[in-house]
Amino acid sequence: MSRNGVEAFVDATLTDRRPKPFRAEPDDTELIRAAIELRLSQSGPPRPDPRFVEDLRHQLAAGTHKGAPSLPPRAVAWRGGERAGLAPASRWRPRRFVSAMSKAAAVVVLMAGTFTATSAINHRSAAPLAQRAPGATTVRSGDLVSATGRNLGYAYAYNGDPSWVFMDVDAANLAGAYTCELHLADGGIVPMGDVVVHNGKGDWAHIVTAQVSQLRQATLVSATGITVATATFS
Amino acid sequence: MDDSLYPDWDSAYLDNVDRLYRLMYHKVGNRPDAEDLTAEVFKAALGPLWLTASKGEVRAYLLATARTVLASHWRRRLGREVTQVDPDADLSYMNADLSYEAATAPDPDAGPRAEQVLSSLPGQYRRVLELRFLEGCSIKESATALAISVSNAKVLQHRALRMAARMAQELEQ
Repeated sequence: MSRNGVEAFVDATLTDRRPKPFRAEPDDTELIRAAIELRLSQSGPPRPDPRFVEDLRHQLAAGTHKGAPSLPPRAVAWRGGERAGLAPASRWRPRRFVSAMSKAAAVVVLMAGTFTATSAINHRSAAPLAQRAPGATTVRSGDLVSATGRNLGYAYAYNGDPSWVFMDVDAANLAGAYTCELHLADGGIVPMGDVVVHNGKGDWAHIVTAQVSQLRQATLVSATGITVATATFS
Repeated sequence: MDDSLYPDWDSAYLDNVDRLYRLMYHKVGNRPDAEDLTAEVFKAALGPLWLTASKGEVRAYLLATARTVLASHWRRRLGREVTQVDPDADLSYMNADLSYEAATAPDPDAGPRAEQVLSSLPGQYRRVLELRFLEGCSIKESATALAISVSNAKVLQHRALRMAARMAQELEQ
C-alpha cells in the first residue's frame, strides 16, 4: 500500500487541490474512494466557477465543434468483407439510421461520430446490425497493446442505448492519424474511423449498432496498414 | 429521454456544463480536476454531435464520453480506476434539477452513509476522520486535538481510512 501517496491524495482532496500522480496499489483505490466520499458527505458538489464556465464556453466557440457540422461525414458499409459506398447519413442519429438500414436489409450498418480531443475529423464506419437488449449496460474492455507488448492505451465497448466503442491512446512515440478497426467474432474486420494522436494522446469514440458481445478486438492501424496495437475485449 | 432539441451549441453547453461539472467533482473530489475533466468531455463530445440529436441523446453522449475521460484520468493519475461513471446511476446527474438549492444540497444518501461508516469505527479512528473530513482540521491540528504526534496522526488516519473503506464496502453489500 502506498501510504505516502494516499496521504498526499487526502491532503490535496481536503484542500481542493489537484492530487499528485502516484502508482496506486489495489488497496489504495478503496481508501481514496472512501476519502472522496467522506469529503463530499457534508455538502454536495459545488457549482462550477462562473469564470471557468465562461472561459470554456469561449474555448468551445473558437474550437472544433463549430466547424464540425460543415464537415461531410463519410459513409462506408461492408457486406461480406467488401466495401460498398453508402450515402452519407447525418451524424449521430443512430436509431433513425439503423431503421433505414434495416429496411434496406443491409447486413451491415454503420454508425455515427468520431472524435478526438484535438481534432474534428469525422467519419462513418461500419458495424454489424444486430438486435440489442434494451437497457443492457455490459462493458467490455481491453488494454491496447503493441506487438512488442507495450501498453499504448485501452479500448472500451459499452453495450447500452446507444452502444459505444471507445479508444484512448496514450503513447509518447505516436503521432498523426491512425485507423481504428473492429474485429468481429465472425472474423469480419470493420474500419471505424480515424483517431488523431497529438503529443502522444488521442481519443476516439463511435456509436455501434451491434451487441458488444460480437466484438472481439479493436486495433490501431497506421496509414501504411501496419497494426500498431491491438486491444482484445474481455 | 428528452426528445426536444437544443437550438444551438451554446444552449447545449450551457444546459449541461453545471451537470457535468458536478458529476465530475463527485467522482474526483476536487475542483481543478473536475474543471479539467469537464472541459475534456465537452471538447471531445461537442465536435461529433449534430444538433439533430435530442437533449436526451446529447446528455447520454456526454455521459458516455465522461465515462471514458474519467477512466483515462485515473489511469494517468494513479494507474488504476478509483471511481467510474455509471451510465445508469449517473444519469440522474445529467437530468438533475439545476436550482441552486438542489444543485448544492448534499447527496441525500452520502451523509447518512458516511455517518454510518464513521459510527462503526473505533473511537480514535472515528475522531481522526471527523477532525480531518468533517471539521476541516489539518493533520497537525488533528494531532494536537488527539494529543498524539503528527506521525502517529498520519498512521491513525491511514488505518482509519482503510477501516472506513472496508465498512463502506460492507454497507454496499
